[in-house]
Amino acid sequence: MTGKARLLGDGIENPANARALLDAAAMFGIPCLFRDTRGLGAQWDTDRGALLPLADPHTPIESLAPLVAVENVTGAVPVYDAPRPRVGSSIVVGNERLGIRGDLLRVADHCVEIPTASRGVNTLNVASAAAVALFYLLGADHRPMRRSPQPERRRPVVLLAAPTDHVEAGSAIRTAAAFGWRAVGLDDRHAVWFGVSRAARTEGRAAARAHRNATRVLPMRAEGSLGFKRVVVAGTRVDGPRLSDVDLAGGRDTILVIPDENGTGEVDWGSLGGRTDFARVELPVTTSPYRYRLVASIVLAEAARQIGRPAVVGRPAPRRGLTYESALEVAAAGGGEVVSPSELREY
Amino acid sequence: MTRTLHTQPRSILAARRTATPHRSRRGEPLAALGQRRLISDLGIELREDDGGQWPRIAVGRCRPGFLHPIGRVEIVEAMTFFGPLARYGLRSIELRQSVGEEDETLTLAWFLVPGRIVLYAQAQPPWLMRAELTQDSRDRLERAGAKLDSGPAVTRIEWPGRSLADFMLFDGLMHEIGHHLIQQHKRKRLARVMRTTDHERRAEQFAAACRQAWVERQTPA
Repeated sequence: MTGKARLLGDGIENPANARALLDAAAMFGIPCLFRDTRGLGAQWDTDRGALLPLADPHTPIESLAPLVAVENVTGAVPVYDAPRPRVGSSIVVGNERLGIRGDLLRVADHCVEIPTASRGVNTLNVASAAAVALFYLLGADHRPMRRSPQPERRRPVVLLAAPTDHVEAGSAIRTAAAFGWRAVGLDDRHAVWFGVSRAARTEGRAAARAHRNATRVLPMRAEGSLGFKRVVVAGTRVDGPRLSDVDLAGGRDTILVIPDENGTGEVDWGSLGGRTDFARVELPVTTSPYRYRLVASIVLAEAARQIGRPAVVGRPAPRRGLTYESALEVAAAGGGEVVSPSELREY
Repeated sequence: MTRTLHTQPRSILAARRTATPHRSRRGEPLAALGQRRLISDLGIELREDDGGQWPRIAVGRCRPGFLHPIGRVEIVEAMTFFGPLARYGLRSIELRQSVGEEDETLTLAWFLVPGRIVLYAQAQPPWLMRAELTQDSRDRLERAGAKLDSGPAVTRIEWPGRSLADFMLFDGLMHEIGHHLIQQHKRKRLARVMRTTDHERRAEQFAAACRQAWVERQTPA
Protein backbone atom coordinates (compact mmCIF):
# COMPACT_ATOMS: atom_id res chain seq x y z
CA MET A 1 0.00 0.00 0.00
CA THR A 2 2.98 2.29 0.64
CA GLY A 3 3.44 4.72 -2.24
CA LYS A 4 -0.19 4.45 -3.29
CA ALA A 5 -1.28 7.64 -1.61
CA ARG A 6 -0.47 10.25 0.98
CA LEU A 7 -2.50 12.06 3.59
CA LEU A 8 -2.66 15.83 3.31
CA GLY A 9 -3.86 17.97 6.22
CA ASP A 10 -5.08 21.31 4.90
CA GLY A 11 -5.06 24.21 7.36
CA ILE A 12 -5.01 22.08 10.51
CA GLU A 13 -4.87 24.33 13.59
CA ASN A 14 -4.56 22.01 16.55
CA PRO A 15 -1.14 20.35 17.03
CA ALA A 16 -2.80 17.44 18.88
CA ASN A 17 -4.93 16.75 15.81
CA ALA A 18 -1.83 17.00 13.62
CA ARG A 19 -0.13 14.33 15.75
CA ALA A 20 -3.22 12.14 15.51
CA LEU A 21 -3.17 12.60 11.72
CA LEU A 22 0.46 11.49 11.64
CA ASP A 23 -0.56 8.38 13.58
CA ALA A 24 -3.48 7.76 11.22
CA ALA A 25 -1.17 7.92 8.22
CA ALA A 26 1.32 5.63 9.99
CA MET A 27 -1.46 3.07 10.61
CA PHE A 28 -1.91 2.78 6.86
CA GLY A 29 1.79 3.05 5.98
CA ILE A 30 1.51 6.24 3.99
CA PRO A 31 3.27 9.59 4.40
CA CYS A 32 1.49 12.62 5.85
CA LEU A 33 1.96 16.24 4.80
CA PHE A 34 0.51 19.45 6.13
CA ARG A 35 -0.40 22.53 4.16
CA ASP A 36 0.13 25.12 6.85
CA THR A 37 -2.22 28.02 6.24
CA ARG A 38 -3.30 28.63 9.85
CA GLY A 39 -0.15 28.83 11.91
CA LEU A 40 0.29 25.17 12.80
CA GLY A 41 4.09 25.39 12.43
CA ALA A 42 4.31 28.18 14.99
CA GLN A 43 2.49 26.06 17.60
CA TRP A 44 4.35 22.85 16.86
CA ASP A 45 6.44 21.61 19.76
CA THR A 46 9.35 19.65 18.35
CA ASP A 47 10.24 18.38 21.84
CA ARG A 48 7.10 16.19 21.81
CA GLY A 49 8.20 13.96 18.98
CA ALA A 50 8.09 13.93 15.22
CA LEU A 51 9.00 16.84 13.01
CA LEU A 52 6.10 18.53 11.28
CA PRO A 53 6.21 17.52 7.62
CA LEU A 54 5.09 20.61 5.73
CA ALA A 55 4.26 20.93 2.07
CA ASP A 56 6.38 23.53 0.31
CA PRO A 57 4.26 26.70 0.31
CA HIS A 58 5.63 27.65 -3.11
CA THR A 59 4.63 24.37 -4.67
CA PRO A 60 1.62 24.82 -6.98
CA ILE A 61 -1.49 22.99 -5.85
CA GLU A 62 -1.58 21.05 -9.09
CA SER A 63 1.60 19.25 -8.07
CA LEU A 64 -0.33 17.62 -5.22
CA ALA A 65 -2.84 16.12 -7.66
CA PRO A 66 -4.60 13.78 -8.04
CA LEU A 67 -6.59 14.94 -5.04
CA VAL A 68 -9.35 13.13 -3.15
CA ALA A 69 -11.11 15.56 -0.82
CA VAL A 70 -12.79 14.19 2.31
CA GLU A 71 -15.52 16.77 2.74
CA ASN A 72 -19.29 16.86 3.15
CA VAL A 73 -20.15 18.80 0.02
CA THR A 74 -22.90 18.47 -2.54
CA GLY A 75 -22.16 15.65 -4.94
CA ALA A 76 -19.66 13.92 -2.66
CA VAL A 77 -19.63 10.12 -2.92
CA PRO A 78 -20.11 8.08 0.29
CA VAL A 79 -16.73 6.85 1.40
CA TYR A 80 -18.04 3.27 1.60
CA ASP A 81 -18.39 2.88 -2.15
CA ALA A 82 -15.97 5.53 -3.40
CA PRO A 83 -13.58 4.40 -6.12
CA ARG A 84 -10.03 3.52 -5.11
CA PRO A 85 -7.72 6.52 -5.46
CA ARG A 86 -5.12 6.47 -8.19
CA VAL A 87 -1.49 5.76 -7.34
CA GLY A 88 0.16 8.84 -5.85
CA SER A 89 -3.14 10.48 -4.85
CA SER A 90 -3.33 12.97 -2.01
CA ILE A 91 -6.21 12.27 0.35
CA VAL A 92 -7.07 15.67 1.81
CA VAL A 93 -8.72 16.46 5.13
CA GLY A 94 -9.43 20.03 6.12
CA ASN A 95 -9.42 22.45 9.00
CA GLU A 96 -11.25 21.37 12.15
CA ARG A 97 -13.91 24.07 11.87
CA LEU A 98 -13.79 25.31 8.31
CA GLY A 99 -12.95 22.24 6.27
CA ILE A 100 -10.87 22.18 3.10
CA ARG A 101 -10.06 25.52 1.47
CA GLY A 102 -11.84 26.32 -1.76
CA ASP A 103 -8.68 26.39 -3.88
CA LEU A 104 -8.00 22.72 -3.07
CA LEU A 105 -11.62 21.70 -3.41
CA ARG A 106 -11.80 23.21 -6.88
CA VAL A 107 -8.93 21.09 -8.19
CA ALA A 108 -9.96 17.90 -6.38
CA ASP A 109 -10.58 14.96 -8.70
CA HIS A 110 -13.47 13.85 -6.58
CA CYS A 111 -14.94 14.39 -3.12
CA VAL A 112 -15.89 11.68 -0.67
CA GLU A 113 -18.05 12.11 2.41
CA ILE A 114 -18.56 10.12 5.56
CA PRO A 115 -22.34 9.74 5.83
CA THR A 116 -23.58 10.77 9.26
CA ALA A 117 -26.96 10.22 10.86
CA SER A 118 -27.12 12.95 13.49
CA ARG A 119 -28.58 16.42 13.26
CA GLY A 120 -26.56 17.75 16.15
CA VAL A 121 -23.12 16.35 15.34
CA ASN A 122 -22.54 16.00 11.62
CA THR A 123 -18.76 15.85 11.51
CA LEU A 124 -16.05 13.66 12.99
CA ASN A 125 -12.80 14.71 14.57
CA VAL A 126 -10.39 15.38 11.69
CA ALA A 127 -8.05 12.51 12.56
CA SER A 128 -10.99 10.14 13.06
CA ALA A 129 -12.36 11.19 9.68
CA ALA A 130 -8.95 10.61 8.10
CA ALA A 131 -8.72 7.12 9.62
CA VAL A 132 -12.20 6.19 8.38
CA ALA A 133 -11.47 7.58 4.91
CA LEU A 134 -8.13 5.76 4.64
CA PHE A 135 -9.67 2.52 5.88
CA TYR A 136 -12.30 2.51 3.15
CA LEU A 137 -10.32 4.14 0.36
CA LEU A 138 -7.15 2.10 0.75
CA GLY A 139 -7.97 -1.02 2.67
CA ALA A 140 -11.43 -2.46 3.05
CA ASP A 141 -13.60 -4.08 0.43
CA HIS A 142 -15.89 -1.63 -1.25
CA ARG A 143 -19.32 -2.45 0.03
CA PRO A 144 -22.04 0.19 -0.25
CA MET A 145 -24.04 1.38 2.70
CA ARG A 146 -27.10 -0.73 3.31
CA ARG A 147 -30.62 0.49 2.70
CA SER A 148 -32.96 -0.66 5.38
CA PRO A 149 -36.64 0.08 6.01
CA GLN A 150 -36.00 0.55 9.73
CA PRO A 151 -32.28 0.98 10.35
CA GLU A 152 -32.75 1.99 13.99
CA ARG A 153 -33.89 -1.52 14.81
CA ARG A 154 -30.49 -2.78 13.69
CA ARG A 155 -28.45 -0.41 15.86
CA PRO A 156 -26.47 -2.23 18.57
CA VAL A 157 -25.60 -0.87 21.98
CA VAL A 158 -22.05 0.52 22.03
CA LEU A 159 -19.66 0.18 24.96
CA LEU A 160 -16.40 2.11 24.85
CA ALA A 161 -14.20 0.12 27.19
CA ALA A 162 -11.40 1.56 29.29
CA PRO A 163 -10.18 4.57 27.33
CA THR A 164 -6.99 5.95 28.81
CA ASP A 165 -7.35 9.55 27.67
CA HIS A 166 -10.35 11.85 27.82
CA VAL A 167 -9.68 13.39 24.42
CA GLU A 168 -9.56 9.95 22.82
CA ALA A 169 -12.76 9.01 24.68
CA GLY A 170 -14.43 12.29 23.70
CA SER A 171 -13.53 11.85 20.04
CA ALA A 172 -14.90 8.31 20.06
CA ILE A 173 -18.14 9.54 21.66
CA ARG A 174 -18.32 12.29 19.06
CA THR A 175 -17.97 9.70 16.30
CA ALA A 176 -20.71 7.58 17.86
CA ALA A 177 -22.96 10.63 18.11
CA ALA A 178 -22.29 11.57 14.49
CA PHE A 179 -23.21 8.06 13.35
CA GLY A 180 -26.53 8.28 15.17
CA TRP A 181 -25.99 6.74 18.61
CA ARG A 182 -27.94 8.80 21.14
CA ALA A 183 -26.55 6.87 24.09
CA VAL A 184 -23.14 5.31 24.55
CA GLY A 185 -21.91 3.09 27.38
CA LEU A 186 -18.52 3.97 28.82
CA ASP A 187 -16.38 1.76 31.02
CA ASP A 188 -14.43 4.52 32.71
CA ARG A 189 -12.09 2.36 34.74
CA HIS A 190 -9.24 4.85 34.24
CA ALA A 191 -11.41 7.75 35.45
CA VAL A 192 -10.86 9.90 32.38
CA TRP A 193 -14.42 10.96 31.69
CA PHE A 194 -16.88 11.15 34.55
CA GLY A 195 -16.23 13.90 37.03
CA VAL A 196 -12.92 15.80 37.36
CA SER A 197 -12.03 18.75 35.21
CA ARG A 198 -14.21 17.85 32.22
CA ALA A 199 -17.35 18.25 34.32
CA ALA A 200 -16.33 21.80 35.19
CA ARG A 201 -16.00 22.59 31.51
CA THR A 202 -19.39 21.06 30.93
CA GLU A 203 -20.95 23.30 33.53
CA GLY A 204 -19.37 26.28 31.88
CA ARG A 205 -21.13 25.44 28.68
CA ALA A 206 -24.44 24.65 30.32
CA ALA A 207 -25.95 27.88 29.09
CA ALA A 208 -25.14 27.01 25.51
CA ARG A 209 -26.74 23.58 25.73
CA ALA A 210 -29.95 23.04 23.93
CA HIS A 211 -30.27 19.42 25.13
CA ARG A 212 -31.71 18.64 21.76
CA ASN A 213 -29.89 15.89 19.94
CA ALA A 214 -27.71 15.50 23.00
CA THR A 215 -25.78 12.29 23.55
CA ARG A 216 -26.08 10.36 26.79
CA VAL A 217 -22.96 8.72 28.18
CA LEU A 218 -23.90 5.87 30.52
CA PRO A 219 -21.44 4.36 32.97
CA MET A 220 -21.08 0.62 32.37
CA ARG A 221 -18.52 -1.98 33.36
CA ALA A 222 -17.11 -4.47 30.91
CA GLU A 223 -17.36 -7.30 33.41
CA GLY A 224 -20.07 -9.65 34.57
CA SER A 225 -23.17 -10.40 32.54
CA LEU A 226 -24.65 -7.32 30.91
CA GLY A 227 -27.75 -9.19 29.79
CA PHE A 228 -27.15 -9.10 26.04
CA LYS A 229 -27.69 -12.08 23.78
CA ARG A 230 -24.58 -11.33 21.76
CA VAL A 231 -21.33 -9.52 22.48
CA VAL A 232 -19.09 -8.34 19.65
CA VAL A 233 -15.59 -7.23 20.62
CA ALA A 234 -13.82 -5.23 17.93
CA GLY A 235 -10.20 -4.12 17.89
CA THR A 236 -6.88 -4.40 16.15
CA ARG A 237 -5.45 -7.05 18.45
CA VAL A 238 -8.38 -9.41 18.82
CA ASP A 239 -8.38 -12.74 17.07
CA GLY A 240 -11.31 -13.11 14.74
CA PRO A 241 -12.63 -12.54 11.25
CA ARG A 242 -12.31 -9.21 9.50
CA LEU A 243 -14.49 -6.36 10.69
CA SER A 244 -16.58 -6.25 7.53
CA ASP A 245 -17.24 -10.01 7.73
CA VAL A 246 -18.86 -9.81 11.17
CA ASP A 247 -22.47 -8.76 11.67
CA LEU A 248 -22.23 -5.61 13.78
CA ALA A 249 -25.85 -4.56 13.31
CA GLY A 250 -27.68 -6.99 15.56
CA GLY A 251 -30.03 -4.51 17.17
CA ARG A 252 -30.58 -3.95 20.86
CA ASP A 253 -29.77 -7.53 21.78
CA THR A 254 -26.18 -6.98 20.67
CA ILE A 255 -23.52 -4.99 22.45
CA LEU A 256 -20.56 -3.76 20.45
CA VAL A 257 -17.55 -3.46 22.75
CA ILE A 258 -14.64 -1.33 21.55
CA PRO A 259 -11.81 -1.72 24.04
CA ASP A 260 -8.88 0.66 24.32
CA GLU A 261 -6.22 -1.95 23.73
CA ASN A 262 -3.66 0.08 25.67
CA GLY A 263 -5.76 0.19 28.79
CA THR A 264 -8.01 -2.84 28.93
CA GLY A 265 -5.52 -5.48 30.02
CA GLU A 266 -6.72 -9.06 30.20
CA VAL A 267 -10.51 -9.21 30.09
CA ASP A 268 -12.63 -12.33 29.93
CA TRP A 269 -15.00 -11.15 27.24
CA GLY A 270 -17.00 -14.37 27.49
CA SER A 271 -18.17 -13.33 30.95
CA LEU A 272 -20.23 -10.46 29.47
CA GLY A 273 -22.93 -13.01 28.69
CA GLY A 274 -24.47 -14.46 25.57
CA ARG A 275 -22.49 -15.42 22.50
CA THR A 276 -19.18 -13.63 22.07
CA ASP A 277 -17.83 -12.78 18.62
CA PHE A 278 -14.63 -11.00 17.74
CA ALA A 279 -14.04 -8.63 14.85
CA ARG A 280 -10.53 -7.69 13.80
CA VAL A 281 -9.75 -4.26 12.42
CA GLU A 282 -7.26 -5.17 9.73
CA LEU A 283 -4.57 -2.54 9.33
CA PRO A 284 -1.65 -2.69 6.92
CA VAL A 285 0.88 -1.62 9.57
CA THR A 286 0.55 -3.37 12.91
CA THR A 287 3.53 -1.74 14.59
CA SER A 288 2.20 1.81 14.31
CA PRO A 289 1.31 3.82 17.44
CA TYR A 290 -2.14 2.89 18.80
CA ARG A 291 -4.77 5.60 19.02
CA TYR A 292 -8.13 4.71 20.47
CA ARG A 293 -10.17 7.30 18.62
CA LEU A 294 -8.93 6.09 15.22
CA VAL A 295 -9.73 2.43 15.83
CA ALA A 296 -13.07 3.23 17.51
CA SER A 297 -14.07 5.47 14.62
CA ILE A 298 -13.31 2.77 12.07
CA VAL A 299 -15.39 0.22 14.01
CA LEU A 300 -18.28 2.65 14.42
CA ALA A 301 -18.17 3.61 10.75
CA GLU A 302 -18.41 -0.04 9.73
CA ALA A 303 -21.27 -0.58 12.18
CA ALA A 304 -23.03 2.48 10.73
CA ARG A 305 -22.52 1.10 7.21
CA GLN A 306 -24.10 -2.19 8.21
CA ILE A 307 -26.97 -0.50 10.04
CA GLY A 308 -27.66 1.42 6.86
CA ARG A 309 -29.91 4.31 6.16
CA PRO A 310 -33.65 4.50 5.57
CA ALA A 311 -34.83 2.99 2.32
CA VAL A 312 -37.05 5.99 1.65
CA VAL A 313 -35.51 9.37 2.36
CA GLY A 314 -37.41 12.57 2.76
CA ARG A 315 -40.96 11.24 3.00
CA PRO A 316 -42.82 13.52 5.37
CA ALA A 317 -44.20 11.95 8.49
CA PRO A 318 -47.97 11.43 8.37
CA ARG A 319 -49.84 14.23 10.06
CA ARG A 320 -51.36 13.18 13.35
CA GLY A 321 -53.98 14.82 15.46
CA LEU A 322 -54.17 14.98 19.23
CA THR A 323 -52.53 11.88 20.68
CA TYR A 324 -51.73 10.42 24.07
CA GLU A 325 -49.25 7.70 24.75
CA SER A 326 -48.69 5.22 27.53
CA ALA A 327 -45.00 4.44 27.90
CA LEU A 328 -42.28 3.48 30.34
CA GLU A 329 -39.59 6.09 30.65
CA VAL A 330 -35.90 5.73 31.23
CA ALA A 331 -34.46 7.79 34.07
CA ALA A 332 -33.25 11.11 32.69
CA ALA A 333 -29.48 11.12 32.96
CA GLY A 334 -29.86 9.18 36.20
CA GLY A 335 -26.55 7.34 36.16
CA GLY A 336 -25.22 8.92 33.02
CA GLU A 337 -24.28 12.27 31.67
CA VAL A 338 -25.78 14.28 28.87
CA VAL A 339 -23.22 15.76 26.48
CA SER A 340 -24.31 18.49 24.13
CA PRO A 341 -23.38 18.56 20.44
CA SER A 342 -21.50 21.82 21.00
CA GLU A 343 -19.24 20.13 23.52
CA LEU A 344 -18.67 17.09 21.36
CA ARG A 345 -17.56 19.30 18.50
CA GLU A 346 -14.58 20.31 20.64
CA TYR A 347 -13.17 16.79 20.37
CA MET B 1 -88.53 14.71 37.64
CA THR B 2 -88.22 14.14 33.95
CA ARG B 3 -84.71 14.39 32.61
CA THR B 4 -83.87 15.40 29.10
CA LEU B 5 -81.50 13.55 26.88
CA HIS B 6 -78.88 16.21 27.48
CA THR B 7 -78.74 15.71 31.22
CA GLN B 8 -79.02 11.97 31.14
CA PRO B 9 -76.28 10.27 33.24
CA ARG B 10 -73.40 9.07 31.14
CA SER B 11 -73.93 5.45 32.05
CA ILE B 12 -77.50 5.50 30.70
CA LEU B 13 -76.60 7.64 27.72
CA ALA B 14 -73.71 5.38 26.76
CA ALA B 15 -75.86 2.24 26.96
CA ARG B 16 -78.57 3.86 24.86
CA ARG B 17 -76.25 5.22 22.20
CA THR B 18 -74.04 2.19 21.76
CA ALA B 19 -77.18 0.07 21.40
CA THR B 20 -78.71 2.35 18.78
CA PRO B 21 -76.06 4.69 17.45
CA HIS B 22 -78.07 5.99 14.49
CA ARG B 23 -81.49 6.39 16.05
CA SER B 24 -82.97 9.86 15.89
CA ARG B 25 -84.18 11.75 18.93
CA ARG B 26 -87.76 11.14 17.91
CA GLY B 27 -87.20 7.44 18.17
CA GLU B 28 -85.96 7.55 21.77
CA PRO B 29 -88.72 5.91 23.78
CA LEU B 30 -86.57 5.47 26.84
CA ALA B 31 -85.16 8.93 27.04
CA ALA B 32 -86.79 10.01 30.23
CA LEU B 33 -86.48 8.25 33.53
CA GLY B 34 -90.22 8.56 34.02
CA GLN B 35 -90.90 6.66 30.83
CA ARG B 36 -88.29 4.14 31.80
CA ARG B 37 -89.88 3.58 35.19
CA LEU B 38 -93.23 3.17 33.50
CA ILE B 39 -91.92 0.49 31.20
CA SER B 40 -90.32 -1.20 34.15
CA ASP B 41 -93.62 -1.15 36.01
CA LEU B 42 -95.21 -2.81 33.02
CA GLY B 43 -92.82 -5.71 33.48
CA ILE B 44 -90.64 -5.12 30.41
CA GLU B 45 -87.03 -5.99 31.07
CA LEU B 46 -84.41 -3.53 29.83
CA ARG B 47 -80.98 -4.80 29.02
CA GLU B 48 -78.22 -2.47 30.13
CA ASP B 49 -75.80 -3.97 27.68
CA ASP B 50 -77.48 -5.36 24.62
CA GLY B 51 -74.32 -5.89 22.58
CA GLY B 52 -74.82 -2.80 20.46
CA GLN B 53 -72.04 -1.01 18.65
CA TRP B 54 -68.56 -2.26 19.38
CA PRO B 55 -65.26 -0.80 18.29
CA ARG B 56 -63.45 -2.65 15.54
CA ILE B 57 -60.74 -4.89 17.02
CA ALA B 58 -57.86 -5.52 14.60
CA VAL B 59 -55.12 -7.96 15.51
CA GLY B 60 -51.82 -7.66 13.65
CA ARG B 61 -49.13 -10.31 13.52
CA CYS B 62 -46.14 -9.92 15.87
CA ARG B 63 -42.50 -9.96 14.88
CA PRO B 64 -40.45 -12.93 16.11
CA GLY B 65 -39.62 -12.50 19.78
CA PHE B 66 -42.67 -10.35 20.47
CA LEU B 67 -46.20 -11.07 21.61
CA HIS B 68 -49.50 -9.37 22.22
CA PRO B 69 -50.00 -9.78 25.98
CA ILE B 70 -53.76 -9.47 25.51
CA GLY B 71 -55.78 -10.61 22.54
CA ARG B 72 -59.27 -10.12 21.18
CA VAL B 73 -60.80 -12.40 23.81
CA GLU B 74 -59.36 -10.47 26.75
CA ILE B 75 -60.36 -7.15 25.22
CA VAL B 76 -63.95 -8.27 24.65
CA GLU B 77 -64.10 -9.69 28.17
CA ALA B 78 -62.88 -6.43 29.70
CA MET B 79 -65.12 -4.26 27.55
CA THR B 80 -68.10 -6.40 28.46
CA PHE B 81 -67.25 -6.11 32.13
CA PHE B 82 -66.77 -2.35 32.06
CA GLY B 83 -69.89 -1.91 29.96
CA PRO B 84 -70.97 0.50 27.27
CA LEU B 85 -69.47 3.48 29.08
CA ALA B 86 -65.99 2.18 28.30
CA ARG B 87 -66.63 1.65 24.62
CA TYR B 88 -68.94 4.49 23.78
CA GLY B 89 -67.40 6.54 21.01
CA LEU B 90 -64.49 4.18 20.47
CA ARG B 91 -63.85 3.48 16.82
CA SER B 92 -61.10 0.90 16.85
CA ILE B 93 -58.68 -1.02 19.03
CA GLU B 94 -55.67 -2.20 17.07
CA LEU B 95 -52.99 -4.65 18.17
CA ARG B 96 -49.90 -3.72 16.24
CA GLN B 97 -46.22 -4.51 15.95
CA SER B 98 -43.99 -2.62 18.33
CA VAL B 99 -42.78 0.79 17.26
CA GLY B 100 -39.11 1.54 16.57
CA GLU B 101 -37.24 1.40 19.85
CA GLU B 102 -36.46 4.76 21.26
CA ASP B 103 -33.68 5.12 23.78
CA GLU B 104 -35.82 6.92 26.30
CA THR B 105 -39.19 5.21 26.18
CA LEU B 106 -40.87 1.85 25.78
CA THR B 107 -44.26 2.48 24.26
CA LEU B 108 -47.18 0.37 25.43
CA ALA B 109 -50.17 2.00 23.83
CA TRP B 110 -51.26 5.03 21.92
CA PHE B 111 -54.53 6.92 21.66
CA LEU B 112 -55.47 9.10 18.74
CA VAL B 113 -58.54 11.24 19.22
CA PRO B 114 -61.29 10.60 18.46
CA GLY B 115 -61.59 6.99 19.42
CA ARG B 116 -58.60 5.09 18.04
CA ILE B 117 -56.46 2.99 20.40
CA VAL B 118 -53.31 1.14 19.38
CA LEU B 119 -51.77 -1.49 21.66
CA TYR B 120 -48.21 -2.41 20.75
CA ALA B 121 -46.72 -5.88 20.82
CA GLN B 122 -44.16 -6.31 23.57
CA ALA B 123 -40.97 -8.32 23.86
CA GLN B 124 -41.18 -11.81 25.29
CA PRO B 125 -40.50 -11.68 29.02
CA PRO B 126 -38.22 -11.23 30.80
CA TRP B 127 -37.60 -7.72 29.56
CA LEU B 128 -34.12 -6.22 29.62
CA MET B 129 -33.88 -2.46 29.55
CA ARG B 130 -30.44 -0.93 28.98
CA ALA B 131 -31.00 1.82 31.48
CA GLU B 132 -32.58 2.64 34.78
CA LEU B 133 -36.28 3.41 34.80
CA THR B 134 -37.85 6.48 36.29
CA GLN B 135 -39.49 6.01 39.69
CA ASP B 136 -42.94 6.48 38.13
CA SER B 137 -42.31 3.70 35.66
CA ARG B 138 -40.97 1.43 38.41
CA ASP B 139 -44.09 2.08 40.47
CA ARG B 140 -46.33 1.25 37.52
CA LEU B 141 -44.50 -2.00 36.89
CA GLU B 142 -44.52 -3.07 40.52
CA ARG B 143 -48.19 -2.21 40.86
CA ALA B 144 -48.86 -4.55 37.96
CA GLY B 145 -46.99 -7.38 39.67
CA ALA B 146 -43.68 -7.23 37.81
CA LYS B 147 -40.45 -8.19 39.55
CA LEU B 148 -37.66 -5.71 38.95
CA ASP B 149 -33.97 -6.41 39.26
CA SER B 150 -31.72 -3.42 38.65
CA GLY B 151 -28.10 -4.01 37.73
CA PRO B 152 -25.48 -1.56 36.49
CA ALA B 153 -27.29 0.30 33.70
CA VAL B 154 -29.53 -2.71 33.04
CA THR B 155 -33.00 -3.36 34.45
CA ARG B 156 -34.43 -6.86 34.26
CA ILE B 157 -38.21 -7.09 34.45
CA GLU B 158 -39.90 -10.42 35.04
CA TRP B 159 -43.60 -11.00 34.56
CA PRO B 160 -44.91 -13.84 36.70
CA GLY B 161 -48.24 -15.44 35.81
CA ARG B 162 -50.79 -13.16 34.16
CA SER B 163 -49.13 -9.97 35.34
CA LEU B 164 -48.01 -8.86 31.86
CA ALA B 165 -51.53 -9.30 30.48
CA ASP B 166 -52.95 -7.32 33.40
CA PHE B 167 -50.32 -4.64 32.92
CA MET B 168 -51.22 -4.26 29.27
CA LEU B 169 -54.94 -4.37 30.04
CA PHE B 170 -54.89 -1.58 32.61
CA ASP B 171 -51.76 0.46 31.95
CA GLY B 172 -52.28 0.11 28.23
CA LEU B 173 -55.90 -0.35 27.18
CA MET B 174 -57.83 1.11 30.13
CA HIS B 175 -55.36 3.98 30.47
CA GLU B 176 -56.04 4.97 26.87
CA ILE B 177 -59.79 4.50 27.36
CA GLY B 178 -59.40 6.90 30.28
CA HIS B 179 -58.01 9.49 27.86
CA HIS B 180 -60.88 8.75 25.52
CA LEU B 181 -63.50 9.22 28.24
CA ILE B 182 -62.02 12.55 29.28
CA GLN B 183 -62.36 13.77 25.72
CA GLN B 184 -65.89 12.33 25.44
CA HIS B 185 -67.01 13.70 28.79
CA LYS B 186 -65.98 17.22 27.87
CA ARG B 187 -67.90 16.87 24.61
CA LYS B 188 -64.95 18.32 22.73
CA ARG B 189 -63.71 15.21 21.15
CA LEU B 190 -61.10 16.75 18.89
CA ALA B 191 -59.88 19.63 21.02
CA ARG B 192 -57.30 19.61 23.79
CA VAL B 193 -59.44 19.81 26.90
CA MET B 194 -56.75 20.01 29.57
CA ARG B 195 -53.00 20.03 30.06
CA THR B 196 -51.30 16.82 29.10
CA THR B 197 -50.08 16.17 32.65
CA ASP B 198 -53.62 16.49 33.99
CA HIS B 199 -54.92 14.32 31.17
CA GLU B 200 -52.35 11.67 32.03
CA ARG B 201 -53.06 11.87 35.75
CA ARG B 202 -56.79 11.39 35.26
CA ALA B 203 -56.29 8.57 32.80
CA GLU B 204 -54.04 6.94 35.38
CA GLN B 205 -56.71 7.32 38.06
CA PHE B 206 -59.30 5.80 35.75
CA ALA B 207 -57.02 2.84 34.99
CA ALA B 208 -56.40 2.34 38.73
CA ALA B 209 -60.15 2.39 39.45
CA CYS B 210 -60.73 -0.13 36.67
CA ARG B 211 -58.01 -2.36 38.06
CA GLN B 212 -59.61 -2.28 41.50
CA ALA B 213 -63.08 -3.07 40.12
CA TRP B 214 -61.63 -5.93 38.09
CA VAL B 215 -59.84 -7.39 41.10
CA GLU B 216 -62.96 -7.10 43.25
CA ARG B 217 -64.99 -8.91 40.62
CA GLN B 218 -62.50 -11.78 40.61
CA THR B 219 -62.38 -12.03 44.39
CA PRO B 220 -66.00 -11.79 45.54
CA ALA B 221 -66.54 -11.20 49.24
